[in-house]
Amino acid sequence: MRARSVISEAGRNLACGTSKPLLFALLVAVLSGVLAVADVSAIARVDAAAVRFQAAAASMRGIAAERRIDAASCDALARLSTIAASGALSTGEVLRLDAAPMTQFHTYRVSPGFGSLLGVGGATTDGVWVEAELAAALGLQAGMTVPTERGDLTVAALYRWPNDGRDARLGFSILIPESASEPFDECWMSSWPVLPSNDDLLLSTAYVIPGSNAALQVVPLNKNLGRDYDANAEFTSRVTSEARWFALLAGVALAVVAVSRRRMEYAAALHAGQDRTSQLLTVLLETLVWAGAGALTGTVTCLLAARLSGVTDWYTTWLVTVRCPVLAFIGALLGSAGAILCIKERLLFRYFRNR
Amino acid sequence: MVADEVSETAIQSACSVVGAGLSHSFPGTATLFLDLDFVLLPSQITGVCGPSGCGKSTLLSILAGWETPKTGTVKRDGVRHVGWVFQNPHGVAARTALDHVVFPLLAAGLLRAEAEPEAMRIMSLFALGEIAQRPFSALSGGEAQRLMLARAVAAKPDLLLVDEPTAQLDVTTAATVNSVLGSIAASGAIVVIATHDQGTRTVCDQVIDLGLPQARVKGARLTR
Repeated sequence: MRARSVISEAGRNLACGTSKPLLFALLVAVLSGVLAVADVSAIARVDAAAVRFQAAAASMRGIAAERRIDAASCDALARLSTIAASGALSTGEVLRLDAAPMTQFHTYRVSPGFGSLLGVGGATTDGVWVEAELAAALGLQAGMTVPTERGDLTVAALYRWPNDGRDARLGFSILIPESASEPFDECWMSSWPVLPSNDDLLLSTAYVIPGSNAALQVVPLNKNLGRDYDANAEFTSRVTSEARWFALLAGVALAVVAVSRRRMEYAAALHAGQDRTSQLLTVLLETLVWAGAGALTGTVTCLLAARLSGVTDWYTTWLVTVRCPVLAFIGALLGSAGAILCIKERLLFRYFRNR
Repeated sequence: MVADEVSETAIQSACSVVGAGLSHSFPGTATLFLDLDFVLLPSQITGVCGPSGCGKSTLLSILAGWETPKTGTVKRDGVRHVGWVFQNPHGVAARTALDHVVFPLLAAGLLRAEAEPEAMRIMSLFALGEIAQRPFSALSGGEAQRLMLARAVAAKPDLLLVDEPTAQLDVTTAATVNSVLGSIAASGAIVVIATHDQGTRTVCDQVIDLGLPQARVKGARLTR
């Protein structure tokens, strides 16, 4: 059979509905789309949990070693690709404001890099950083000057430190940025995802003191959200992580049904002299059209679902979940090829008797 | 044996089918036929007759090479293409009658523009020219049966097996089909027809009567 005839026969089978292209395209679209949307939904849940985890400072980890932290090294951790922010911290002396002389406020000395941990990385270090609730209680705003027992202090920035299980010391406090040249007591870092290998980097910021055998321990700054939270494990073990293989099987199954319902026609075509290759190509062309249309619809559905799901990175989510329609398409082609190769001319009589 | 007696003729022909000592039964059923000997030659029409369930279709299946006889052999010399037209016509519902006859010609390598006039010529032999553009699903039983014959003819078989070709046809159309079957045989094909129809039986050059006690070949010694 010539190539033009193969294309012509496939086109006629599609045009007159012999292949049931609309039905099978719809089934591919629905099955692969449902699986893809379910996967988007599962990823969105993992993403939301990760966002909550990070928002609660649970992705921050720290070490404490009194006057043993090299603040410059600690700040420099943030330059590594696996660490988002880092900075050093020491407890400062209490502070009294002229406006509230009877109240003592906790202060902390922080390295310049510490601001990136609080979301005030761009703020000037020429002044103090005031916790937002404290600022609201005192009527302070960024840029204001506050008279204190130590003289006037400029509010360089406000930072949020909600009471959600994280280390509570920075709540209702004032941070005083200082040069990183002096030793500090603690080094904090924030990384996403949380990688155990970063702990060693954190430990490397502490000076080694000969004779000191006190083991340093890296601890999460929000103990309420669990020390063992593993976002990567949550992602890979999500209930729909194998959805793409179900999509592949669905594609294969639909193609097998599509070919099987026409097995007598195919056997009769072989009996009429059609060669195997022409028959395979005709079936693959028809499958290409209906499975392609279905997979394309599933792909667009998946794209919309990813865009509307509110995930942090919709494009990556789409790339992960679009494997469902893509594999359904590949499955349909494989299923068609496998099923058509199982059709035998010699079974025509049996098909005829069993129809 | 009959087969031995005419084997020389068979060897000299372009193609032949020689059955020797054929017997068959399906597991758990009685013997369908026993010890059949026959020779099928080009330009001959052979009738396979007998009551329902006597194994006519099974014998056709054995002749086609799709079923292995329980005993005996079928030797097909020079038979490259076998065509089988079933008792109940089967086609692709949404495709036109013309498409069905064009298909074997496309499979043989013709382009559609070349195949359509040839298909129309063949269809006109079966009085199907008027319904060429009708979908298969809109054909009557008789039209569909003739269409299947036309399609089989378009495939140019060396051995054409036809199962009850006139069962669904009126007398006039049945006579036309019988005449066309004679023409097909005259063109050099071996034609085997399973039939109950006396009219079809009369156009046969020889008859294998599976209704006889031992299902022996009846009339195998006949020559054209």
